[in-house]
Amino acid sequence: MVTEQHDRSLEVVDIPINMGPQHPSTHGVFRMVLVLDGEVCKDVIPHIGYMHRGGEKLMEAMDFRQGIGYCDRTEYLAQFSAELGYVMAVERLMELEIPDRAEYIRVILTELNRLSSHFMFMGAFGIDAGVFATSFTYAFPQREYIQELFEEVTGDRLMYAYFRVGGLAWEVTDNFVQRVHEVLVHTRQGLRDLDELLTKNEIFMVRCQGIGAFTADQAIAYGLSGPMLRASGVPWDLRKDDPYSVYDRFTFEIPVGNHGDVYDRYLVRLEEMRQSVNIIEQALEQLPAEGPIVAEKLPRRLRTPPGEVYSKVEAPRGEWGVYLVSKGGDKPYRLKMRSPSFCNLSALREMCIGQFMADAVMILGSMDIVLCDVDR
Amino acid sequence: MMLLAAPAINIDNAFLSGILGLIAFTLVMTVGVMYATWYERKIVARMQYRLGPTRTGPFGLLQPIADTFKLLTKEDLRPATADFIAFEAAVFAIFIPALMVFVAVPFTADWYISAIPMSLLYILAVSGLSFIGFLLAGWGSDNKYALLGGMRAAAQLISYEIPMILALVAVVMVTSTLDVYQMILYQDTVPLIVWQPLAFGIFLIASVAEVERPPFDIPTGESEVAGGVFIEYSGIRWSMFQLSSYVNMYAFALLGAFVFLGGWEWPFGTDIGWGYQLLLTMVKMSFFIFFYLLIRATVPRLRVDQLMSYAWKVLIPLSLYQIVTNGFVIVYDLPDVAFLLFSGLGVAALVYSAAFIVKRGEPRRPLTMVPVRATAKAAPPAPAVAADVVVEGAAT
Amino acid sequence: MTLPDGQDGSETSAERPEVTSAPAPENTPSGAEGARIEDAGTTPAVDPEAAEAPMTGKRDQEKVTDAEPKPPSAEAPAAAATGEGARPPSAEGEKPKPAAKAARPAKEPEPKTAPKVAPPAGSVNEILAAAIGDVKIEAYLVPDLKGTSVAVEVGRDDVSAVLTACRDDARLDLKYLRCLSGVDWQEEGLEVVYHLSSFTKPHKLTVKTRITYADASVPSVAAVYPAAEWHEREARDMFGIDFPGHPDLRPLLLPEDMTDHFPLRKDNPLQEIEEWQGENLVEGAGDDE
Repeated sequence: MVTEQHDRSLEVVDIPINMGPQHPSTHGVFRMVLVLDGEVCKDVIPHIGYMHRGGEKLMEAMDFRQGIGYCDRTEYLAQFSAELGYVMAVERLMELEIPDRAEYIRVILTELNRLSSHFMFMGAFGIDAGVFATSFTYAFPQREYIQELFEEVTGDRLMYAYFRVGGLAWEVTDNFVQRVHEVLVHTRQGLRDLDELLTKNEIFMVRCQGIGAFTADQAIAYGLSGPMLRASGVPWDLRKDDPYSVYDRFTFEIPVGNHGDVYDRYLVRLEEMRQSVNIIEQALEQLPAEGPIVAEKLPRRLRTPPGEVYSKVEAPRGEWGVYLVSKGGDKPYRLKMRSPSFCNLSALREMCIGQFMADAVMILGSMDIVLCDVDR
Repeated sequence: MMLLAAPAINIDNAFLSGILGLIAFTLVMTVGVMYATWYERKIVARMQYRLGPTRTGPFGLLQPIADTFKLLTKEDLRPATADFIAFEAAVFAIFIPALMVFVAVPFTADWYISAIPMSLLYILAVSGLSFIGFLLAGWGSDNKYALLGGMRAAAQLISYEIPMILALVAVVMVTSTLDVYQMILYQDTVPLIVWQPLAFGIFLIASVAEVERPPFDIPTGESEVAGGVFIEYSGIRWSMFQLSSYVNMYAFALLGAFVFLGGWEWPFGTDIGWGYQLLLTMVKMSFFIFFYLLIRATVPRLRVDQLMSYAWKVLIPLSLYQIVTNGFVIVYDLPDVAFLLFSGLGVAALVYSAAFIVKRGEPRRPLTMVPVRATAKAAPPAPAVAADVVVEGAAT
Repeated sequence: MTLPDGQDGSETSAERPEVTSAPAPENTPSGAEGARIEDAGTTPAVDPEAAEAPMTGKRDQEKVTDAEPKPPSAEAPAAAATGEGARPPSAEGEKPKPAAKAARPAKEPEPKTAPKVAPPAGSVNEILAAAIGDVKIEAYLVPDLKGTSVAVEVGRDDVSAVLTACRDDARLDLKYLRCLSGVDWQEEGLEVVYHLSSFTKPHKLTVKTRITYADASVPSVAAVYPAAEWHEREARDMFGIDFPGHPDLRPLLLPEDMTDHFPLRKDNPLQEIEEWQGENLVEGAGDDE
């Protein structure tokens, strides 16, 4: 921007400032270049792909059972949702009937996973807002109880690979129901703590309100999903509008925001956690005491007929979609993972322009992205 | 500690005694800061369901020493493109004024390094120098985060200097002196916090901003500018920044304790000996320290424009109000209760102001809860039977 | 779009049904190895079937030679010609797929493509046909998670018009672009799949369009659905599909200089690489001990 006259007057230049991939608040290896005019973002250029491992390509070389593990590694904070979307796609092509008990256990685990994922969000979001780790330490012990339960059931802390095509890998532990109830006690405690710490905190409110607001139309146009979409006022939840698994057997509420800003996204997630607790309790009541956990007529070798299916679940971050194209055989011909983080992140630029640099951090935090999921 | 009482060891040279006292005090302060970090870590940990340091010594008491050794032995890096002079000078430009404040601070009636007649003016002038160091560090590091942090620091320190000084001016009007020693004597029965609660509130808030602690840690905000001016500093230089930050915290805590809480004075007589006087001072100082630690663990960070508007639109008008009403009371020679009356009204406004800056714009509407009714019955033994479909508030 | 050398998955996959419909291949390791190496240069396409039994992923020598009626890459078609040449001989027909389908049942017990069932009357494709007028669309049912939904195939040049109609027409009201995927159908070219859904109507729609390798470009719909922006960049990265009209088609997930290699195309021999790695890893482990 050198002026032609080369006069000696002061030039006002915008500073391009490179945030990430090792910045504390980019939630992983995400990089964005903020073009700052003082403190205000004039442009935001997101750069992703640092974690790109060619997951879709890899899954083309894996058979349907092996692909489950890759779902865990892609969406590593909502593993059960990712697994569920994937196995449901395969099951739909194979036309498998899943036993009720397996469906209920899937729902319970998926909702617990939503809780643990949202706990992660709460903790990290508080840090983005500048709370010195207190939100983190409020959220993480409670998340840890859930992780412990998952570990008991699946044998692994993060990479569960517990949902299988046709049902579950193995039966849950004997005291599963009791353990879930115990975990829910801690979850409620964590929800109370976080609610008291953040929700009515005036500085938190002033930092969050009116920031990164998206109208319903904008949110739809940008393909936002999950809490991001609902915070913008679109009452869209796949558990309600396109119920999969046994979600049509529960009574719960979908929180919908009215402002579409960061604060609403926070509130929506907080309320969603309460509703998840609600769903888990109902599922525990309805859970058949015994029964098969794997579909009958499950072939030893998973082969789908040719065809395609777009399977989607309401993951904690939004619509986790799996577009599975099969040419027959035991591997996907093409598998596209529609990750909610990816789609939500694509709206980052639009949301951040004109906001303060500190707000860009908050907006990014409110998206609750998982970088493995973005890059796949 | 005895060295502090320079007159007691009869050094004729005032300059020499001052230097000796300052050196002794620096050492004491360094240890004090080390243990302030320990205390802070313990306090914050308890607020966060944690234990804090436990492994090094009883209750982790040796942790600060371990930390010190770690920091001293870390490699001292300087970016190749940094401005050598600015980068190196910045550390001292922050560190030295932070310690120089204590030259004029009377810990007890007898213990002080130097008796300066206008010590309040001196303290404010010296503590106001530190922003130069932030600017130097921000510019000299050749790092955009540091530059942003330095600019933020300069803006913040200058902005909050004004309400803080105005609040202290209000107190000066009441006590009619600029000497901290005389101000403490003035509070032999009733501390000034009683007569000047508004000035106290403004001072408390502004001092948090001056020491750049949450929620005013914008210049160093970890999640935004990733450490701000400190981003390129490491090892001993970084620890000097931290040291001066804590020393500043002590300085403002002491200042608040002297000016508003009465220092070593309390209503039950003054002839209590230097030990109790020191204890009283420390207890009053720890009130401030604890306040700083408490809010660190619980409040998020303000944004830079909110920070500015809070200083210029809320704190400065209120401190001016405090000055005007004080003048009113003094000119018309009203009883002291009038100070409290006017100031109390201002405190109400101050408390409300926090809510005021939040509640701008349209009123918030709460979340809309869209109910979802079960449309299928759970029937474990029998095949699922679809019940009547009742969907309220379906997607529109 | 230029094709990388060795892109002629067409030959192999045209014949691959034979390979896969055969029982589990019996390997003659040395011979298969030689054939495979020779094969890898020319037809590196990932064979979705070849690793059914992961240990015996190598193809039979006879099968491989069978699968290569054409000479290897020495006379692999030039880049421009390949796209057209990739079409099976039935390319003179409007759609290649029916022809391919007709040819297959005789040869193999397991079909490679799902049968195309026309949607029942009153489906969303009829609304779409009414909304866009004279654009030629081919509609069929695809499985949905519960039941089925409608997919339509449209010509490449009609994509923008169709999607604009989908978004703007009140009867369709498909305002939400769920997903945009590229699919490499090898001899049948590339495909771009748009998954649309509606918040107000109970229907959803899958829109597909086919393109050739030689002319791999689809008009961008980023102006219609901003959500498509990153998806299109991703499809550009992975499949080399050009989206004219896109505001910013820089590589998104791949390195910024990686503009001539398209990892998700079937001509990238992931499987061979993995096997090669596996063998070398095993050897390396032996050396250590």
